[in-house]
Amino acid sequence: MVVIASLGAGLFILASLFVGGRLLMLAYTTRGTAEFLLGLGLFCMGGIGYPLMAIMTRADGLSDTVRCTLLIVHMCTSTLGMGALAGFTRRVFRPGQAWAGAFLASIILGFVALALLQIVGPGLMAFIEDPKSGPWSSKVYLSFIPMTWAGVESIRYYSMLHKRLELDLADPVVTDRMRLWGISILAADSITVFGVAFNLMGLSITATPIGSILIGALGLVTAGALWLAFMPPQSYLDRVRASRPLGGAGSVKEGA
Amino acid sequence: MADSPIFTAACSRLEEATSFNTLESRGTVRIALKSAGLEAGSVTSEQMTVVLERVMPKELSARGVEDPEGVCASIRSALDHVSTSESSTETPDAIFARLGSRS
Repeated sequence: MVVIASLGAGLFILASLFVGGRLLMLAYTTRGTAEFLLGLGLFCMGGIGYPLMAIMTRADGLSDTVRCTLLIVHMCTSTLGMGALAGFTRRVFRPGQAWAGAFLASIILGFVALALLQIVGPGLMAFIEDPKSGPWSSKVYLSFIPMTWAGVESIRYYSMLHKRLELDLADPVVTDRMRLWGISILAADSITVFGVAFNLMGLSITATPIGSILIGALGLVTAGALWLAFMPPQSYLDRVRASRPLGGAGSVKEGA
Repeated sequence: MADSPIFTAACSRLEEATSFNTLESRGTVRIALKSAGLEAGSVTSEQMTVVLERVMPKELSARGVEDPEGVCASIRSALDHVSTSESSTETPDAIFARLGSRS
């Protein structure tokens, strides 16, 4: 069971690193804000922040200084990653809308506040010894907000693009990419939700067979959907295009 | 989000060409746009043209409008005179098209 969970988590970390890295390279070429924010979000959140948490709390033989340093890096990358994800959602789906700007600011301030409260309150070592207590442990609840926001906005927009497809007003590849991003982020969000639910029942999600299967399956879905959305093989793109006629004059073509 | 000039022009022409009042004409166009997956704030001239060809005639027929095709043609010609400035904000589909590109 541990193998299944590790496989799902490992693929999620790899996909976050590769897809995040690719989007950051794309941002370097295009100077686009959206690809920079999503690349940064995936790279920091799934690629660095998530594995650091596991190393910091579970690895043997690390000194307290190293663990504290890892926790500070984890706090920074989690705050940066979640902030970048929320920034991406705002930039793509709610540009120029004041409420979305305020929402983004409150998410970032929330993460910063939790980190500062942990540092000046019980301290870093208190969290390392018991990751389920202290202010920073509440970051799992806060993470739920930007991830759900991203998922809901992308699925809402996907449903609009799906209707446009019928009128040749959308590109099938772009529509599919929107769907895959929604699936990916909501699957990652579900891991958080299940983790919290298990905690509320007094269980550790990784310590139970059903929890391990859930992490493994959802990690696989997250990684697979991310990969197909942002680094799709040509054969997959051909299959998506073949399943639908190409968009008409009013559609935005893939790669445009 | 403010309504696009295309949406406003289409509603005005529909109101002139039928017995609909302002509220009815705007509501009818909004329903047609929603069923096409479009929004009043961001609809373009090209998109509205497709809606007028493939969605709007059915909506007008359902509301008892005589000659729905003629009314739609009249709205289409009215749109030719609408000047639209290029929006400075990218649409989500334009951004997602770029995110998968290999450049």
